[in-house]
Amino acid sequence: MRTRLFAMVAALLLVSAGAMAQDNKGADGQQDVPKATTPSVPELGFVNQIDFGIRGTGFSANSDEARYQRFQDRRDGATLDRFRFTKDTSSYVINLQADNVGYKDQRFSASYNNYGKVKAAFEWNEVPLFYSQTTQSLYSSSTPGVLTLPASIQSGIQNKTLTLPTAMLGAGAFSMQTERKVADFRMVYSATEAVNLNLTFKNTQRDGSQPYTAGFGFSGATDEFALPIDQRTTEFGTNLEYGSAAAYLKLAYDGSFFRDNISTLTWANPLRSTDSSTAPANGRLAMAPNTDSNTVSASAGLNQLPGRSHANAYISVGSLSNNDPLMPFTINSAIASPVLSRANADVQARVTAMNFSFTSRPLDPVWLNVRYRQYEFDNRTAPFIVGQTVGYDSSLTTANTESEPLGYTRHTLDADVSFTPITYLGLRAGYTHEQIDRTFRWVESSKEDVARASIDLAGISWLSVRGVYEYSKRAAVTSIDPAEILAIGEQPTLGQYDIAPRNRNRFSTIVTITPVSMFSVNGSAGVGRDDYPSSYFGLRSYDSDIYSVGFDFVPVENKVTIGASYGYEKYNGLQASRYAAHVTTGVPPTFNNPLYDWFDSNTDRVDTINASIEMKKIIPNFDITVGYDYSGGNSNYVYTLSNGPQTSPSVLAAPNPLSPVTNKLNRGTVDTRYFFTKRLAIGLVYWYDSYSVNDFALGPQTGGLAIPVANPSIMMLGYNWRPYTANTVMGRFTYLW
Amino acid sequence: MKRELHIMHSRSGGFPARTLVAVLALAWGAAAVSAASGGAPPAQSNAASVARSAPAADKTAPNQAAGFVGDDTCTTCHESEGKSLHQTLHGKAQNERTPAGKGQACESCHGPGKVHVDTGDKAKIKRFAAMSAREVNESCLSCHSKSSAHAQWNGSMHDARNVSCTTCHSVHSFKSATAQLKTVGASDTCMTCHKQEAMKVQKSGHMPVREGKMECTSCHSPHGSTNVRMLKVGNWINESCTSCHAEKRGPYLWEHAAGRENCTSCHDPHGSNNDRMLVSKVPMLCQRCHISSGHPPVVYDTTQINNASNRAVGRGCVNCHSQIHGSNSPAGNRFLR
Repeated sequence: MRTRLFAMVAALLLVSAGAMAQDNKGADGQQDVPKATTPSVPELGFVNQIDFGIRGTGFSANSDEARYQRFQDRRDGATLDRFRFTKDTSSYVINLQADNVGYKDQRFSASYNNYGKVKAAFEWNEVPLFYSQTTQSLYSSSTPGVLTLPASIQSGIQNKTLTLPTAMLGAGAFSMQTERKVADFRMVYSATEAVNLNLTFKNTQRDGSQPYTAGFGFSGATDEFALPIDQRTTEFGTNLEYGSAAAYLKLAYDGSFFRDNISTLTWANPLRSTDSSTAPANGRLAMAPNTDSNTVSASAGLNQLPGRSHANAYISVGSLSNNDPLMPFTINSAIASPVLSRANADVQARVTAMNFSFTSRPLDPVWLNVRYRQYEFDNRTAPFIVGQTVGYDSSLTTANTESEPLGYTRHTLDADVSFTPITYLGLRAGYTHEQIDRTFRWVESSKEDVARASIDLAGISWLSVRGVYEYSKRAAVTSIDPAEILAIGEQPTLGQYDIAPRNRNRFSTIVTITPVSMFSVNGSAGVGRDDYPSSYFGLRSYDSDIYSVGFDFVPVENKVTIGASYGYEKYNGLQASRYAAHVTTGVPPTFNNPLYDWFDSNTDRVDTINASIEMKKIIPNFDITVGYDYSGGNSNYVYTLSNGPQTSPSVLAAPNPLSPVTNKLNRGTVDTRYFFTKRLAIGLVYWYDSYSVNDFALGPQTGGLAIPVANPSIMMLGYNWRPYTANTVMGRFTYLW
Repeated sequence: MKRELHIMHSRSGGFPARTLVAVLALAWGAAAVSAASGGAPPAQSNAASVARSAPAADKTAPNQAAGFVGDDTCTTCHESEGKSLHQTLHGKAQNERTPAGKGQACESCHGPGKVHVDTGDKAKIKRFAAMSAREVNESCLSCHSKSSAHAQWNGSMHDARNVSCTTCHSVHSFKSATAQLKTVGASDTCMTCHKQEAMKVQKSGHMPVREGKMECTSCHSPHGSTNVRMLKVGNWINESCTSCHAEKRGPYLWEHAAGRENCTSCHDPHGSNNDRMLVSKVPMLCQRCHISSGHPPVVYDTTQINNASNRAVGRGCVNCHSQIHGSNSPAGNRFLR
């Protein structure tokens, strides 16, 4: 059916393309992107701009103000939200920019380009991530990396004179957020027409706190707390490149150094004030380790080989390392911490990548490409031996295990041939073979063969069609002995979906029709079917169906633009499992009994709407832009017990259905601007933003669950998914020069 | 005077004359093969070849001899195009790598214009709108392949799919502040074709593309790259992700295999309906691979959640397995902490 459909579509397209090819008058421009007519920057003859004003937001009751500002800072106050300055001469250009000055999403940039000699650019960019303004916690911190509780609470709960829910009544509210501050410097020095020296330096500071959970085991507390973040990543890169029409060569070094200024986090156990051999007064966890990455690479290319051929080669060798001191197995003074088999992590990996490609166009209508890619993550870490271990700082147990330095190598060969029978039509067929060799995974070696075909009709004025069909088959070459899987208490027919054998069919297309230059309509479709034929347990199948339609209408060139689109997405995954009560030794009694099988069908549906109208100077001196964006998600998790091969009824209790998980994001904007003169304008901007959510695990919402901030053994931050409705108004002046 | 300056810059570049002759010969050879194969009209092929050789011609012989008429003649009729060109980097004569720097701002790309001027026939000049995607690309890449920024274009996914430079960029008529794109923002350009990703970035779990703090080009290089998926940084998906999320880079003492191999096993970088852009909700996501070990494979239905099971509420499995990206804790073999 699919093959027939594809053939019909292809035939239709070939006919229409052929017809078009007869009429070269239609070839007025590439049609994929709506044709622009004037540069926006010099629209009024001015390239410099400053916008400043004042802003305020009103929220509906109980709105989650932090989620509204998830990656932005829209606090009330004066604004300088846009500054642009450019000085352009025949020999150099200087560009200065600023956005959202004084707020946590501010950005500054400066660049200098002395044409053909030196280019330098610097950017300072802050990206906030607001989690919550209503989170609550009993924890406080006076030393970085140490979260403490009032001793009275710990001892009260330990002595059973106080409960955790009662203690939480006194928890203080606080705002939780992280922020990235990125300083990025780049410079290119053109030594000659053919030689460039490039330098990059980037520093990213990330600080604040984020929600985190850690526990004290099954009989201990599970605590949510604000994990302190104080991390810095410093990157430095330099490369020397030579380029001519015939060839290029590049030699590069790139280094990246991650430093976590908080190496461990210690937090107090709300249920105990003193250590015992079964429960600690404090827990400790290892934070992200400091890591170094150093890479050298060389790439070269030849561009003027016979038959309009190009050859590229790229090789890089890098090292990744982490040699942080290891913390002891436990902080619990009542447990003798086992001796570490080594004091430092001493984790090292060698990363080697290479990429060779050859592209040729021996005849005008024929294009060929062959590419071989290899990526090797060679983990050179010596296994870390663990005889005894301490779980949750609570229990000393015998482990007799060791770390598994996972590594893998990917070999990928791509070959494509494209045929262009007429000017604007490309027909492509391709094949990929990939082999992945791994250590310490169930499928030690797998291979995947991919066949694909695509059609691309682009460049004519009234029709653009792109479509691709892909079939792939992934198979296990070597897997570990099923007995070994059984020995660790897992089902041998469990397929880990990232490596399990898989058959995949995918088709996608996008069609744009422009019957007249002022109007275009587009539609797209994407269908995917993933089947895991050998996976009885785990993910069995995953399907996707994605469609969209939209139009663009420009009734008055440069003055009126109208556009709208609707998108529909549906994803469906089916996974299987079998209930088997955990036993200390041996195989659980129900391990092999299919009457304990259960299945989970997950359906994710999303509707997306975008619409906008832009009118410039239709009313004299007045610009207005109206936009609307909507994304509505609906996820269902439906459990069934009778989807397997068993003939007898399931012995499991009928599942109690989960409520659908829904969320809706609405955003409407009205942006107006009235020009008093060519240089000076006053504007009014209105943003409407709302979010509604219903999540069974991250409530509380109507129809969801009322999760208490604390139950007798779980202490939560109150960081839940909560709705908001925000109305923001900004008045601003714009000055152009 | 202006042209003399251009010539002076060209001469000061130190480009070896012998190399130029060789390049010229190769270009002619390739064009001859092309013409003989019955491909593009000879006039266009020749024009393209001559255009590529323009710098050499500029240095060694009067422009007229090669059929060039010069910018002034072109802008007599094409005034707006001439003005727009000089507002862009193409028109900056000081940079000897630019068309203006070569002394032929118009004809470096459009080829010699003498026949076109003499006859008034618009078919006698290179018109990019009338050329196939690969012809357009070959023309642009005759200059733009000289740096690593476009070195991986050939054989890239966009190259394979008949995308041309002018699909996204416009030399004379652009809307973006940088890169001469046909849309105001880079992401707008990408989303013209990549509808699925355009929808995903608007979902409740998303990166700050919707807020304007990232663009598609923050991660992807539309001109090709040595990484997969046209990712800009690194040599594998994870290297791209951890170029920002360096705290999850590792390597760790204890590695989560699925994460070490591919971040996108669990996360959808374009956005999802789930917390942390996970491809499914926890604990169901975890149960796609883990059904027995350690825990009974339980149906996490409403009954379980009402029991406030710490495997289902809040952040689910990662309430306890909080070091799921990897751990340096000696006791962290199950990514507990």
